[in-house]
Amino acid sequence: MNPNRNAMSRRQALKAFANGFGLLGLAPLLHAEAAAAPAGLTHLPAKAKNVIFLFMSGGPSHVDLFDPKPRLTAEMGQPLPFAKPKLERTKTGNLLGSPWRFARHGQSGMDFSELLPHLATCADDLCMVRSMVADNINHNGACLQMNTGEQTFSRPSLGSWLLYGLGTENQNLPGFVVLSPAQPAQGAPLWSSSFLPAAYQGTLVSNMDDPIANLANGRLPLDAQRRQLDLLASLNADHHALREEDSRLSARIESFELAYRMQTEAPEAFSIAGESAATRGLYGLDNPTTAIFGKQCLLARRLVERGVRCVQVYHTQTEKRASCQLWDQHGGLKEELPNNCAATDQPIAGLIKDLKSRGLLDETLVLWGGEFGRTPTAEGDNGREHHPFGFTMWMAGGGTKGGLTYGATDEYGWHAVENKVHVHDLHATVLHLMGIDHERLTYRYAGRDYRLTDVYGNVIHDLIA
Amino acid sequence: MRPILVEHCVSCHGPEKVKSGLRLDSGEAVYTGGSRGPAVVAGKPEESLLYQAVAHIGNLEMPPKYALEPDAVESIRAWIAAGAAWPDFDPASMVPKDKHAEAAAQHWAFQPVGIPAPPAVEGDWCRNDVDRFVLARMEPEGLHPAPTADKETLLRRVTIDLIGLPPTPEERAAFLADDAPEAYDRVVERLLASPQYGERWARHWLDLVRYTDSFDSRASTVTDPAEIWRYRDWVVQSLNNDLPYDQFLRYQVAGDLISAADGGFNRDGLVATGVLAIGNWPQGDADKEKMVCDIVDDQIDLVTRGFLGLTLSCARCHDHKFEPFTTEDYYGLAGIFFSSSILPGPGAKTEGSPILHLPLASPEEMAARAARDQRLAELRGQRDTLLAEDRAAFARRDVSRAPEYLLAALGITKAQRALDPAAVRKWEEWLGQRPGVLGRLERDTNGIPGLHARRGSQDMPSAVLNLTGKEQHYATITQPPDTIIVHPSPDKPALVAWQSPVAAQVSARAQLLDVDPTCGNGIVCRILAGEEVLAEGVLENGAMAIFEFTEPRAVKPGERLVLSVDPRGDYSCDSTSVEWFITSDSGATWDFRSEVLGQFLDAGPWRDHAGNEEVWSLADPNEAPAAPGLRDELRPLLAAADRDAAVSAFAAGLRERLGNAAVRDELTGERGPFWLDAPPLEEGAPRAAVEAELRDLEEHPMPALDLAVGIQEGAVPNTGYQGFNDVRVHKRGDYNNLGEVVPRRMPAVLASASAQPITEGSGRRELAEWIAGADNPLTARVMVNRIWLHHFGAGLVRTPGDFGTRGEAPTHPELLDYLARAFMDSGWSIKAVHRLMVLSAAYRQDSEGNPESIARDPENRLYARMNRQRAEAEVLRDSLLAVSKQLDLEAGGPAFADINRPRRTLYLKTNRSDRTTFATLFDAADPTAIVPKRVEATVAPQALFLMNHPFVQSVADALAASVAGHADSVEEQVRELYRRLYARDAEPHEIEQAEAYLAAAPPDTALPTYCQALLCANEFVFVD
Repeated sequence: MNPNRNAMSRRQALKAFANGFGLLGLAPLLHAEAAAAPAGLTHLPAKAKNVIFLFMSGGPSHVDLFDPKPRLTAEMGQPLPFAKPKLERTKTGNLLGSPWRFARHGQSGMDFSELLPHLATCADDLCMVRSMVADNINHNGACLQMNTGEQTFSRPSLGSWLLYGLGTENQNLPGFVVLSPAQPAQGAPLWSSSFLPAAYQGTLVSNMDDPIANLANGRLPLDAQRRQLDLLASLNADHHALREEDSRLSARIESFELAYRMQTEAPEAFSIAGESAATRGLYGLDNPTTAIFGKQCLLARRLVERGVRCVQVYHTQTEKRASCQLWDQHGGLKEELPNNCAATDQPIAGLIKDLKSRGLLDETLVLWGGEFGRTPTAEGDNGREHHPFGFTMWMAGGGTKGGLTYGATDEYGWHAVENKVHVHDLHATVLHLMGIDHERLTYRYAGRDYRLTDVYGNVIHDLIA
Repeated sequence: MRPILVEHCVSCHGPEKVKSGLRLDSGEAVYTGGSRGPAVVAGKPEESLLYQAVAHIGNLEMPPKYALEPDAVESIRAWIAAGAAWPDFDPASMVPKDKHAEAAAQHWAFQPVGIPAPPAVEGDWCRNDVDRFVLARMEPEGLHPAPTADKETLLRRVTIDLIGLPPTPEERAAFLADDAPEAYDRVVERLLASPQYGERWARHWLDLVRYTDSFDSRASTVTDPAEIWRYRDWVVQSLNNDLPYDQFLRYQVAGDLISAADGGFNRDGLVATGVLAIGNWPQGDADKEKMVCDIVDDQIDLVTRGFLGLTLSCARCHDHKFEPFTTEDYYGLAGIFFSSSILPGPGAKTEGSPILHLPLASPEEMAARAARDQRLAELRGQRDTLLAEDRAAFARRDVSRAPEYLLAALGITKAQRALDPAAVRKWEEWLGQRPGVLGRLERDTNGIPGLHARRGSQDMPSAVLNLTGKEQHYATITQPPDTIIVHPSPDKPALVAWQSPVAAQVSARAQLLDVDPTCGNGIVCRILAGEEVLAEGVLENGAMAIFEFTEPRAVKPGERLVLSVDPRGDYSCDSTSVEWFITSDSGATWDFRSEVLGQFLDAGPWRDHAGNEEVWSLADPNEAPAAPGLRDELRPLLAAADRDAAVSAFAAGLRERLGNAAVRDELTGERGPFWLDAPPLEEGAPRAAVEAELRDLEEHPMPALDLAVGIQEGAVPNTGYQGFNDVRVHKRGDYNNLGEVVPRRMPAVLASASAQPITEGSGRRELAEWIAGADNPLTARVMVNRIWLHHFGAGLVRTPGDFGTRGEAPTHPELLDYLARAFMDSGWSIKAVHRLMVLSAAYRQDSEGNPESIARDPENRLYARMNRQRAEAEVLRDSLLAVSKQLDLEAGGPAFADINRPRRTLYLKTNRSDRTTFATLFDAADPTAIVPKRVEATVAPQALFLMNHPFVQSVADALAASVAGHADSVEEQVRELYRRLYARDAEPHEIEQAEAYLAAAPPDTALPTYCQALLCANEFVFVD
């Protein structure tokens, strides 16, 4: 940026006050770290403070998990009785009934397949959307759209917009953390800040045991490093004394002090050593099948508990394998889908229960989904293709309506037909729950005011409690 | 009519909310419409968005939650059909669209570059005309220039600015000692002549053109722009050679169409077009039509926003809302790029698209290579035919000796001289006495010349040899150069066999590396002697492991040790690099990799380095397909207790049976024991001559073709576009919603004298001429503004990527035009522009400024002081390496990934799938975007890196060692440090401070940690 003299900053801040919402985005820009926006400056009353996005990379099958379709089973092996959309990735075969039984759960009577027994016990906390629609049929474009709203070009991710808009509540931790043992889809563009300042990009944690780079010195004990930093502070103070008006210099001085504090506080946030046996059991940490994703979910709770604005949890590794697209069952549906469910079902239910028992679920929006669903028709004899035309996602907490099943696909689970919710609508709704009007959180770039939802998006008020 | 709108529409499209920019509560608003265009077209309901939306025609369905009653829909239709009258509103009163365009066309940046005379100003501050313009703006505001910076500050500033490295103590001493008035000018000339100048300023350009070394860490060399480093090197060279900027641009738009200066093949021209191929388009998209449109969009954005500062690509979906650009302007340009291609084809829907990797060779050379390839193919064809004949002839000749061969192969009788040794071996294999080999050679696997595979009777197991001299990436595998990797099948191991040529005591050590960490689940490795397991273990996924037995074991000549690489668990997808060493008690050694490397293309088994034949083989554990026949009869006999007698009896009977056609066929057919890889060659046989010529050609290969990423004329093959074509407007950017055809042309409002009509080819040549034309009002202005921005920290136009009506106006319009004019008059010399700027008095001011200038001009728009700048990621790392005397100035070549390698950061690999890199942390440009000016953030992880990263610690160690070697006293060491890092002398209190710190700190880390503190200091990172 241009030399950020204090005088200029103040002037910009005043200008921002004058047009109302700019400060929301500006505040973090002026501080060394993304700082919390002063309370009450959100556009709307916020229902939620944090987001945890559980991303099942690869495209989980809605008709095998949440959206029961008896006709698929009844007409198994027959062709889809209407024309498929022009946009096809590969030609799929005839209707494939779900191999799994469905049952209704909770007071709300929400549908779950037998693959998700733990999650089913959370039915009345879930807000199930069975009419999701996306635009892209391949992983890269679809993952990009689900995370940034745009299928092709580089745009800021949902988490980056949230951090830009709201700041973080814990200066000692990154405000937007991505937990993913393996690279999902094309990687960093999914959590990129794009044209927003780089400080808003997601911090990738791929090794859960060594989460943040450069947190420990390795050769200097803390007291020796403190003496070194005192020397540095003294060097910088002399330098700054002659250049007092340059706020960038003081920001950088403060960044070393913050870094020093992070060295002790950040490892604590990522350490699960102090968690009780009951909590470990809740997330399935002692069972090899659930241990990996269980730890990701538990870390997500620890992070939002400490004020991290947005945590994205990618399911990219199981006990048996690591993959960018674990949920991509072109084949092996009957083997792999149960494996994926076994690895994630208990950890996810554990997360919801844990958040709830700690009183965090009200202010934490949990979002579950993949980049699309899967075709109700068969690929080979034991697989399903990519399917963006109608699929299921769910939310929990954060001001959403528990026990609600919203929208519907047609009788075969192909098209969303009732109360369609496009990815842009989902994004608009998430921002709304966080207290942001999606049409007013903008950033001027290349001559245009960009927003997460581009020129689209409607808040789905029916999902909001 | 209006009640319907009020009831159903106005809550979202009215005074409360203005969704999609549309209001439906006034006549003017209805006719003006929103982001999708006018809501009504009077008299034409079918063309009116309002009617389409409520009648659910097309994509837009309104209201969003429910459908209007049919009656209401009909009244809207009828109202529009009847002329869409609105009380008190006359559509004719609206300002027509082209009026807006006319007004925008008067915008300053679209007017010709003026020839402003430098203003007359008082005093002797000015050093050149730049200063006259700058001072003339200060005076009316009551501002005065800041004092000239001292020599040390100036030297550090201009050195880092021009070459991206700090001045050395020697350079500082020389400058301080030079009292001549032109001492500073001499420094500037030295820096501009330095090869490091091009490396520094290339990075500014690469930021702008979304340069990346790789699209995705998992991409193959086919889908990744693996050779794009040639483009980066060309930019460096062009800057160092001061290639005229107009030519620099022409090459990047149409270098493939411009002959070299000598009229021959233009290597640089083709390399330069690589910039058009590295857009951030969706590599893995199944919607190939959209992908092709997105590529074109990226290219338009690059040449208009990148080269001209225009946001023309906004007109992809609709006429530009603020600028005089229409969708016709956009699709006029789009046709040019739809008539060009960066892809060999759209690629499979399920895959990433391959991109063109173009040979850097003249058509003549390509023809010569093609002729040679054709001759090779002919010879190989002839050789194969003759070989088949000779094989059949040999089999026919020797089949009568089948009984003798049978007994010899089993060692029942000694082989007679008359028996062919190769045929005896083949009998052994055929009888299962010797496992089959991976005998099928596949050259240039995965389309990569120099990557060769061997397979057995099935595709896997297989072995791959990398003879390309480079690391190769294919599928999910990363294979280092000069390695042999093996790949087991799901249920069979890959076997590497060593057959002892001696009687000895041996030990063995195998070193295995999993070269495919993203796949599989590791492997199981065993070393076997027959059934006996000599070593066994597991290689974890992505790991390296050693398997060995060190207790010497006796082997007889001909006895085999087998290294068995087995799949682990359910997952077979594992490629493993194999090194295997065998050592005998006599000191003889065998090394699988180095011994087989040079023989891999010959049929195995292979000899060792001592010349012993048949030592190494890659065995095929898949049994040959069973066909009932002699072998089935033989199998029980081979296992019988009285094998020799039983087989001898069988052999005796066999002679009688050779008259039987089925028996003869089994023995003489392609799978039979007489079918030799290399049948005996008779003197003077036709095959001898063919093989001689073939060997000569194969032993003298053409040097490998250099490849480049770039563009070619003609549409992407196998898409809806062919050759050279004008395209239709894609309404709302949708390729399914086509409008009128737009002839290829330049944007109407900017088409000037140099905009030639497009008569042949794609039109890129004409586009290049128009962009590089001296009468283009934007090209020179935009570039001198970029150069000014980097020298001064802010542009004369503070929106360097937007010279349109929404961008900021220049703070010094006459100066901008003066510089643009001077740029063109100098023959588009970028170095001439540097001189104008860095030799000016404005540039030489100190960065403190007068209190009045800070108070009255906080943003420093009038340049009454210099802007302090923070070192970019590249300057920071290069400076760390330079001051610790580790910097390796090797220039050019493929990017490297290891941050510890002490070369300039320009060559440190950027990868769009990885945002965890050093450069990203320190705010380097996002390689997916056009970045005219980096956003600078200060975050704690940057401090953590400098405090704790081993790279910085190693720099501090090297720096400490270097200054310790330079002087013995602490005082002299500190003085040296201040000169190297800050280009100034240390003050006495700074020396005292150092002495105090060093005395208190543990001696072993004292100096390194002191050095590190100096490297972390603001003074090192900021440039006054």
